[in-house]
Amino acid sequence: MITLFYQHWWKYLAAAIIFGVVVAGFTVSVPDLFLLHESIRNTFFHIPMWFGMVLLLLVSLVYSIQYLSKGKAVQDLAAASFAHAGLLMGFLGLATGTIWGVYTWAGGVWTNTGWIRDPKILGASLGILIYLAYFVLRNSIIDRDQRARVSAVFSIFGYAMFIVFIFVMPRLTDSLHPGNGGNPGFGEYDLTPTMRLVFYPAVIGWTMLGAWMASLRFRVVKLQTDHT
Amino acid sequence: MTAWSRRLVLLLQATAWPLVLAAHSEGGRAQGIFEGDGKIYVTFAVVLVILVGLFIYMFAVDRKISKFERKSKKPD
Repeated sequence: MITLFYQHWWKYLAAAIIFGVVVAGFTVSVPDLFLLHESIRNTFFHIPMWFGMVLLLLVSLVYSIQYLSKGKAVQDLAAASFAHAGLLMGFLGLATGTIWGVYTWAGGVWTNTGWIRDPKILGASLGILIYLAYFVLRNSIIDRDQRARVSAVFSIFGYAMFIVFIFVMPRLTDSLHPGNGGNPGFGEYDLTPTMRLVFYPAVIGWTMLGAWMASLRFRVVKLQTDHT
Repeated sequence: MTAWSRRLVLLLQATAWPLVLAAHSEGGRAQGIFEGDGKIYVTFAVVLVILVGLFIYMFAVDRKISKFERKSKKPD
């Protein structure tokens, strides 16, 4: 998979898919639903951030496990690069989800249900903190092998906790997020077949862009370490 | 340069499919959006400009890194 970092065809594909889904995301007809109205189009932009983040962090986890079994330095570097890109998408997903939720369901930033009081936002923030801690841990260990081993082990525990914080915990309490706290998810009633036709390519496209960002970071850091 | 312009044309062709999708969608809301209903097309144009900038930047950084990689492979 690391050889893909140096190839270009899938980067053009990613650009084409993202342009396509953004054009489609603004133009396809969507059902006019209570409270949501046109903001249902956020399905094409906010949710791919979360899907992309989960997938990128999963790739990071796979590289971490591979490092623990094979012990190659590039595997550790790839794991860190994908975690980095996943973290970026996590921040974007948190920010966009907060905007969407606060103005659609919570009734504004300063109400009782707005901003940080929702367990989904709290869980997502905790999940992001786990990966911030991952980078603090990595950068605090000078020895390369030790850093790689410790951060790979942390990554395995971290990913498990991360999934609990963003998917399990909000479902246990009273969240406003669709699919959580007893609310129906979007997939059940609201996604029309046309919307699915845009949504799934959007997930693929944004995940590919995240992988592209990860590959650039990988290549830069590899150049740095090869010359020191 | 010709290779790049060929790639650009390919990219534009590849992104044309959603417009076809929009034209066929029921209710004709897409047409309403383009005609100025709520001016969402202004936001749409802004987002497209941002995306063009983003991808120009991504490809530029990618090419720059490739250049350094080629340089670092040569024996000094």
